[in-house]
Amino acid sequence: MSRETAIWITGVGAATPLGNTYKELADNLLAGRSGVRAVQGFDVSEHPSQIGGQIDNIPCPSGFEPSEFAALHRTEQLVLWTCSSALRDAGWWDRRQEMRVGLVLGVGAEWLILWESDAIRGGSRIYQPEQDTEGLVEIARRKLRLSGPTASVSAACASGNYALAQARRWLELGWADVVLAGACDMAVTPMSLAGFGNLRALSRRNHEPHLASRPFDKERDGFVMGEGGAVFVLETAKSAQKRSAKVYGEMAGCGASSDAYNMVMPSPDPEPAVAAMRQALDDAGVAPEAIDYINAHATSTPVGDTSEVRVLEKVFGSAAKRIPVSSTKSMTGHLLTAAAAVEALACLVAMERNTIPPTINLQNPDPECALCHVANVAKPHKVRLAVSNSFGFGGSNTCLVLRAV
Amino acid sequence: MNVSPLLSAPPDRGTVCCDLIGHGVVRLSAEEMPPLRQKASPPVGEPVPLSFLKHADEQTVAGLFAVYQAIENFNLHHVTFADWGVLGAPRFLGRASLAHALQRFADEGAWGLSPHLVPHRSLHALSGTVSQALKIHGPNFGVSGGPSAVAEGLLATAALLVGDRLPGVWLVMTGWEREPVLELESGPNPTKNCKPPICCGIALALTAAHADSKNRRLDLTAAPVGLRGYATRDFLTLESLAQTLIAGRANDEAWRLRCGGWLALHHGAGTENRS
Repeated sequence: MSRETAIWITGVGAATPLGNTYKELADNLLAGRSGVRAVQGFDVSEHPSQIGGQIDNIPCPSGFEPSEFAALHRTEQLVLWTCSSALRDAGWWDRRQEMRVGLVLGVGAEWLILWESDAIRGGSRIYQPEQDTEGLVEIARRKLRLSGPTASVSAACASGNYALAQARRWLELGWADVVLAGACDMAVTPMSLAGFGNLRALSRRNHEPHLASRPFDKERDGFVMGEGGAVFVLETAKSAQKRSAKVYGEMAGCGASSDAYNMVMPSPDPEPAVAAMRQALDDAGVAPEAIDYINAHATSTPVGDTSEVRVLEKVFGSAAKRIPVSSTKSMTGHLLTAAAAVEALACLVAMERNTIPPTINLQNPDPECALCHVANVAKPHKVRLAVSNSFGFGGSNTCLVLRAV
Repeated sequence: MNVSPLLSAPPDRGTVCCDLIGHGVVRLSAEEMPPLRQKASPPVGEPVPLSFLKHADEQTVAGLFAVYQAIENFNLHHVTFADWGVLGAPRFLGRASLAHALQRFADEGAWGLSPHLVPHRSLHALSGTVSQALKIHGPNFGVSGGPSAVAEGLLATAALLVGDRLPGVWLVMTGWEREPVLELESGPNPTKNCKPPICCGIALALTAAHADSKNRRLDLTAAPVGLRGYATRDFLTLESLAQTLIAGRANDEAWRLRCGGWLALHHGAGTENRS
């Protein structure tokens, strides 16, 4: 891809268990801190899993009335904060009405979360379909005064990569001048904690929350739910160069496939996920051995982590033993719909700081997961090309390739 | 249908031209669902287990059978779907199930919640199920889930078709014409003369347009706000699309999408159609 038609990331906005700004998140990731703790905000005494990576308060963006912002649903707060932060970071905020700014967000269970929180407050909105007239991305477009196309997409934990792929096409098609793309999820709710818990997907290491998310470790016993989001400003390289914009990286390639096997379990056949990774590398025009860092999907489930290792071994061959790998879910928890977006951000951190964030709690690596782990401590390493895997319920496999500019 | 094709407008940069090689429309009452759940195997390929749709949402059942109908009615048995993409655009998926689950959660606590709620009532459930039933290994994802499901579904489909060199994309759209949750709260009320809840499923089988194709063509683009002549997304509803497709089977001119007619998705309000 030529420099003119390449799609660059020129702004970021984030709210995560490790911080609500890029710098805060980057510092905490590279310090190997855990954002996981006992769940706050509702009674978890009857839940099988009682821990999560939560956000305390979502900051009110400049220009919004704090009391009105505080009254909004937390998912809406999250979307407005991350989108406005990204636009400001990119330098587009004051000029956003002069151009077509599109918005495509990974949002997996928008209505379920909305109805649940309303019911918890004693409301009955779930029984009042006539109230449900406007989706989250439309609300965000209206409140942020954007004029481009909007869509919300979901492939469960792979949603963010689909959003980025859509955004890239929208720019290539000329549907928008700038696109906000990413994913947001405030899924640490009583119902979803119980739902995933009853699926036996969650860690029950309730007595030591910060040690519970341990991808690739022999003692892993499930994932830890997290909440938050990340949104990126995407624009053409030509546009970014014209205004001498700060550039975080190039969205160089993406690939997607489906297992067509099971709604919850990963396929025992690694080929569909391998195909997604190869498609992404091919899209970026890079050989597997050129990759400097792999941000693994690795959620800390016994089955999922080993499945991904098989995929990485097939795609990278012998290089899988020397390319540094980490799972930042060990620190953030699994942000579900928002996971891919936050992990793309972790890749940009690795590029900018030339340091790879670690997999913490990797005390006793599973012999079935023999990779080049960045275990427990960040590793200084030049990162020009990074891949981020994200797989999801529904059999979705996605891979993103990011290139330093 | 309120979305008029713009017959004279030529496709420009940013317009994605698709061939509609098949479509299916099903309208199912709650009573019609249980027997269909037992007959989930597709008309092509391998059969699925009898329990395949046991925990699926009603909208997923309607969407899947709309796909099957499209395969049957448009003789798509010879098409290899393995590398296609699937987009599922349900509308308020899982409302009634969640209402039940909230009640059960209140009565029994966390352990009373079904583990099937999350995988089968999230936005990706419809596309994931279709992908699994037809052994489709291309991308699958959910779109919108709300009132703009049809418009967002078409938009995302266009971007997927043009970008990923896929042989085709299934766009599956579903929703209740009257939400069953209304009866869940107050019970059936025959004196109100309400229509019974009907679940609608629409499946469009779309491929990149071929110049010599005799299929209906659907040209999609995203138009700037305020530009006259573009249909607004507000007019694009599941019900109007179903009516148009059903009418179009008998009379192709009803949709008027042949021969370069185009449908533009407009994002914003306050414009009117040009025809």
